[in-house]
Amino acid sequence: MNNNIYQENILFHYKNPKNTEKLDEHTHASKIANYTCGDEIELELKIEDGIVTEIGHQTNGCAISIAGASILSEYIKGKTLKEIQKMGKEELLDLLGIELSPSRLKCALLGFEALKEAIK
Amino acid sequence: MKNIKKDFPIFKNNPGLVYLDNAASAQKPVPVIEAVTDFYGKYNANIHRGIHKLSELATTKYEDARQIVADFINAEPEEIIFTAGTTDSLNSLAIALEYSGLLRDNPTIITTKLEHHSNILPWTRIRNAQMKFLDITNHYQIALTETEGKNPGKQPDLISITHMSNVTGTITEPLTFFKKFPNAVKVLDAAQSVPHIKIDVKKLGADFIAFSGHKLYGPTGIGVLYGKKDLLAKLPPLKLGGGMIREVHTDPSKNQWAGIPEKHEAGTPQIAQAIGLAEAVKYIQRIGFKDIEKQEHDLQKYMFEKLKEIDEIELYHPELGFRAGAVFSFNIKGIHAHDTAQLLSDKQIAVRAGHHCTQILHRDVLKRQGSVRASFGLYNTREDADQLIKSVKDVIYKFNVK
Repeated sequence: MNNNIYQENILFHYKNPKNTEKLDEHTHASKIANYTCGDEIELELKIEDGIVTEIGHQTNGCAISIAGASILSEYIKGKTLKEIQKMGKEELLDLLGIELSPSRLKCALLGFEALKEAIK
Repeated sequence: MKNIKKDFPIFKNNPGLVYLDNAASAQKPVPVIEAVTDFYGKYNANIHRGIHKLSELATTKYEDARQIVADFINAEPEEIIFTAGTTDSLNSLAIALEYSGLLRDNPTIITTKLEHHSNILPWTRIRNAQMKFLDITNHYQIALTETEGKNPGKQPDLISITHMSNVTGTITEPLTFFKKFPNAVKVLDAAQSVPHIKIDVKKLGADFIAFSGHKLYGPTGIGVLYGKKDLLAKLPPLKLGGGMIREVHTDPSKNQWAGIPEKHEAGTPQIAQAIGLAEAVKYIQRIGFKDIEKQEHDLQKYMFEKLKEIDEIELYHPELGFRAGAVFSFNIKGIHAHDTAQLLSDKQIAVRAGHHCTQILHRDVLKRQGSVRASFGLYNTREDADQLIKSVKDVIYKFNVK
């Protein structure tokens, strides 16, 4: 199986992850870890009038988890709270555009899990 | 040792596979696979004095397997208890010791920061266990002075150490530690060492030794607990049930157990797997430890030097003056272990990433969340080593760390 998951977009986001500054103030936050991998994320959101205006994440872990969180953070900026609540994993996985084995799936979805946790 | 891979069907079925995860589990040669299949196809039956022919044959093969394993480590057959593996051996031993009266109340138990969780956790569950962890030196050796725990001068009730680290490859000198604590119960975790160095139980000073079949080129689901005769006789049964009794009564105080080793093997054992394990032992003996140790030592030296040459690699392995097996854990600086392992896997190189069931070692000693581990077996060659080195350099290039 010659399936390269370390494609350009993944490596790009891994080396220069987006939205990694801590927010001055936030309305929602979460902190989760993936024990199989040792990946960790702290996520903060600012939701004003039902819209995501700011997002910041500090993700510590493998390239897939960092790229996943970075790509997700760009995607949800400007979206409404309702849209995020309805968002399913497949949306993010489509964005990543790679086929993941079950063990790496958890890495890719770390940011997504943190997001769901923050808006619970 | 030329072309050993041809004896292992896995390589024909996975062309191009560079299998370097032997510390996790080893591949199986044809005689082992055939032994298991033959048992099930030709003489499958339960053991233990079943009068019919198949049962007698199965019993003979099972007890022959015990003798073969005993001879392999220079023990008596009644000192060999078949278990489900190293973890099973250590868990059962810990529970039996708790009921044995061989440990005092609030027992002091010494282990090390190098240990696998299976040689730590079973001891922590002993009631009121006072755990002490021996430190690890900069050269990945177990330090002789205690650095943690209260009552530093107190003689321990039990000491359990590894014979060979599944992360750093460090091969320890058990006698050095066991001599220091003459009154303690002395346990040795030999899961990693048995497949790679000749074991003579009479020279190791251990009361109990545990190892696994699947790392020894044998089946999964089988392992061994070796114990000194007199201790096994004193120890309460590891497990209770059919086959380990002389008499059973409604008044439990009247129950009588069988002699050793039967006393410690309750229920229908892993018959097929024990027979498979014996074949694995015979396979190794046909090749001979002299050749195996020489080849693995050469590879260990070669790999160590090659890995040391790469600046971006942080290697957790002792210097060549220290005795070590061909197990190499490392990190490429700036790249997460999982990414390294993934990229190596994409090139058909099987390694493992994570903490390798040694969180204490990784957190307290290596101060890393995880590592990549490449571990060699008797079928691995210089070509495998070269492939690994080349691929590691490719990974470094791809992530532009260089």
